[in-house]
Amino acid sequence: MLNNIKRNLLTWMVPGILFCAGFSDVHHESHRPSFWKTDGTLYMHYFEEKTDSLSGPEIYELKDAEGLTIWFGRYIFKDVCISGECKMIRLWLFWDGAGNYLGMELPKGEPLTKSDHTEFDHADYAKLEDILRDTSSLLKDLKQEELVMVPDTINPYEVDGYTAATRPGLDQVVVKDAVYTCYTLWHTVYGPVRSYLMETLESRINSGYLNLLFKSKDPALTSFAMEAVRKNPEYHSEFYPRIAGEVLSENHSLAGQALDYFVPSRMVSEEEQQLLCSLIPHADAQKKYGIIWKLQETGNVHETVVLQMLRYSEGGELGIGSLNLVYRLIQPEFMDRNQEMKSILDRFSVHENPYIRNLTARLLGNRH
Amino acid sequence: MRKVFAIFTFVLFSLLGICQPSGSVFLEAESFGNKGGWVVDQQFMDLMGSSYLLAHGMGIPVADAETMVEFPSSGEYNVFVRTFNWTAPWYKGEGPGKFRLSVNGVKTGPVLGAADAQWFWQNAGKVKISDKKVRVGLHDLTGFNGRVDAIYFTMGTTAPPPEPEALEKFRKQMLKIPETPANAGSFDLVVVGGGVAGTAAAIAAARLGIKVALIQDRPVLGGNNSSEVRVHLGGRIHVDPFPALGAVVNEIGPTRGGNAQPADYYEDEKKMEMVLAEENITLFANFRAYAVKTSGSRITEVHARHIETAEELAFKAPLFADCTGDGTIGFLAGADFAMGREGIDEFGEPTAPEKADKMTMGSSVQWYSIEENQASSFPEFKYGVDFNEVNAQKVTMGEWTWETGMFLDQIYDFERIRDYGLLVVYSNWSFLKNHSSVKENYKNRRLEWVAYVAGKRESRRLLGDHILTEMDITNFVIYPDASAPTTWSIDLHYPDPKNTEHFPGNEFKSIAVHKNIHPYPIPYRCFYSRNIDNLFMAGRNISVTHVALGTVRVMRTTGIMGEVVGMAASLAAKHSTTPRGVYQNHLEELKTLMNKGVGKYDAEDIQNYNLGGTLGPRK
Repeated sequence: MLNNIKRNLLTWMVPGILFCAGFSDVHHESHRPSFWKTDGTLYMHYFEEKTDSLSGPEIYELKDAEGLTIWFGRYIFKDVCISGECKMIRLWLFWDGAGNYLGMELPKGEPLTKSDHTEFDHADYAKLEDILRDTSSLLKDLKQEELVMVPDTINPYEVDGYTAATRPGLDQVVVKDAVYTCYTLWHTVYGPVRSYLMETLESRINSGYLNLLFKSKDPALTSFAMEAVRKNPEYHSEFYPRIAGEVLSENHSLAGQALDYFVPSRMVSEEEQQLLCSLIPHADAQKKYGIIWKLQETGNVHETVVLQMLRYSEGGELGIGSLNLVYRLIQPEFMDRNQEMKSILDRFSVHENPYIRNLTARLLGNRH
Repeated sequence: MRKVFAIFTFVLFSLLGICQPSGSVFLEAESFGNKGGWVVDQQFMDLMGSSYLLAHGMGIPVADAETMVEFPSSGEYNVFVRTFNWTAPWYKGEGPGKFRLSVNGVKTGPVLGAADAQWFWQNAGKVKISDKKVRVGLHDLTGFNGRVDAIYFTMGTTAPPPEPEALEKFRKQMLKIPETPANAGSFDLVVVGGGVAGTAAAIAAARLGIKVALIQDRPVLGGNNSSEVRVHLGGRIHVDPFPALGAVVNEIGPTRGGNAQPADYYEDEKKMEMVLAEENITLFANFRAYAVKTSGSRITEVHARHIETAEELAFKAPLFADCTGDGTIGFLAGADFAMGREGIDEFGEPTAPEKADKMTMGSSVQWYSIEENQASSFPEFKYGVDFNEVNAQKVTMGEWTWETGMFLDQIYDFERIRDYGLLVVYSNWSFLKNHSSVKENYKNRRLEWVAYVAGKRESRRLLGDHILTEMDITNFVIYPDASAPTTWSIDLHYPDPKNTEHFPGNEFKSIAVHKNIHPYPIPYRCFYSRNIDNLFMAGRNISVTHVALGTVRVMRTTGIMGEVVGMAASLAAKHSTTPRGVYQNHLEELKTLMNKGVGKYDAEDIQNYNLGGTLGPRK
């Protein structure tokens, strides 16, 4: 779905577009960013931003053959005011198909400069990239006039980068002598364009699109898909198995997000609980415990799931350190009616390991 | 009988009350058969002479405590109740800890607990006793920490003595506590303190084959890591040069982190069952050590009193381990100790202040609230610390940063320190719920948990043959007796300057200043007293400076210390020597044990939270 696109879709080849818009080279050729791809179909969105009338009204989107976004790009033409005067910066900014900042491209011969007019070096660009990737940067909540501390002796209308000191605490999160550039770019990356991109992407959410996102195996798109399912409960029943699968991801961030998805309200049914439980033999220790705690938080774990956990405990898929947690899941009536559960507990109650024996005796209420 | 020794030995005794022949009845509140919603608070026994009952309802009156008492005869009795107004240090007026006494279900006498700034015998009026078997009750009126040590019914007119020594004699006489405590049994090692350090020490020693008594003054193990205090474990285990150390910490440690979280996070039952699974440990839960006997420079006995029944036991052993945190056993035995901050001239520590002072890190009363579906109220609570839009803490929970008492004495002022922690939590919450501009945000929030057992960071540090300093750690000075690695940063706490702006001298929020270190193996000589020959230490009361305490005090590290102490104790027992003797003559054997470790269950390593910043292994 591309219903937010205000103009007809254009299928231009990427290099041509970038050439027409003035792009000619990356800021340092030897470090062409990893996101850079030009194979695909290019679409143009019309985007009018009243606060940034100098930049063009176009946002470009490159999609792959499946229809998934490879990147969004916008040519930025902005003024950064320092030293009592303003200068223009020109560059391309790119976002991925989940709305995350991807990187920038500078026109050849137009490097970014600092307040003393020296050019950014490699380290400065690297730091700038880190700053722009930091979604919760300190810059987020600051106003432009709060970036520097103006000595009393300076006329505030003559503030410049030489006489005003960067506000304490900001030194570590901006490129030295380029606080305004960092600030302007950060707020451009996370400003109205991004809001538009997120609205556009979220408007595309449907079953088919979510399937594409999960199928991509791309961490950013998968993360976006999980978040979309979280926000749109109507897709839970179809996609929770996909999300459960991500619990085993080697990407810690994705795995954590997947496990966090399973709040008690999404773990009510026996099937949901069983699915999470079934991951245990394949999970590392940290995830095993994460799953157990998630089940405990439901306050009502199904009998079959508890039984499965006990089987895992007896079979060694769950370690001794989790037995007390598994026992917390057992309700008295389970022990009364479930013969297999009772048998396992009986064996544990005479186990050679005194810890297991005692813990079981405590559960059964008849300490030996 | 073998395990949780005698916890309920006196239950029948307490249910029937304590009948004295002299026309009077002395009733310890903590021995009430049914405590209702009141809790037993033993933290200040050493200061005011007894544990007591506390109405810790967080603003909601707790259920009545009741017990049956047999009186010597019918007739009219004067009643005295030992209590006090806990907010008196900050507010001149009636306090919030109000309660009443009931006899056979009928309220009697005046409102109690709201007067006087110190523990005293408050006159509770007269009561007519017609039937000798009487039901005595405590009826909380506010839920704001009213407290009762004891109740005295007398046909005379005189209250028990107020002075601590005289009261102690009176108490023993009235309760018929024998002059000589009963023998608790025969042990190779007595570990006092069942926090993470003491628990690990006991387990390690027991697994190496010696008989251990573990004395803990609460019903649960874990100390600051228990569900009563709720501080998560910190630091790293399985670190060079002895990666086998930490196995016990891993076995007993909770599987997930977080300060001030729901009680189940702290897995009390795991710690308890791990201890009870050790055949060589006899656990004395709910016993608090209060005295020692010495012979020359050796401890021969530790005496402990049950925090509910007042039963007293004597523990004899050739070896003792002080894991009390406060260094209580060492202090009672006359061990050298330090408290407060050393001046820079003493050890030349860069982080030390210019002049020595008494400042310590503080104690935390942690708390949290929960969001509910319906609105809930909280009473007005204004007792001398006023909150407003500017100074209120607009938060929904308070963890380690809620820290009090840095300028007070963490031993002798501890009740006041804890109480100030309670006072600011209640006062702030009352403002948020009733007056704040954002009170709408708090409408459905209820104060779910506030600790009444304060989490203490620092008090006495017992001095050993080596005193660990900042330069030992930062210069990475490796001694021949290098042992338990400390990995946490040098993490020292100070009053939060923002808090000082609003509450100068009465701060309750702190900041931490960190100096990262390479994992550093603490010399074993920091783990035994330099002048008490048979005393080990593990925990925050080991031989370190204030600055060095900043790194060693986190609980995975104190647990590792415990493991080393348990190992050393097994060697001392085996060779009939002292802790120092192990250093002098059996160090290689100790290293062999540290290399091997005392893990028993091959538990998967689950201690991956709150590891702390580090400079990484020293190259």
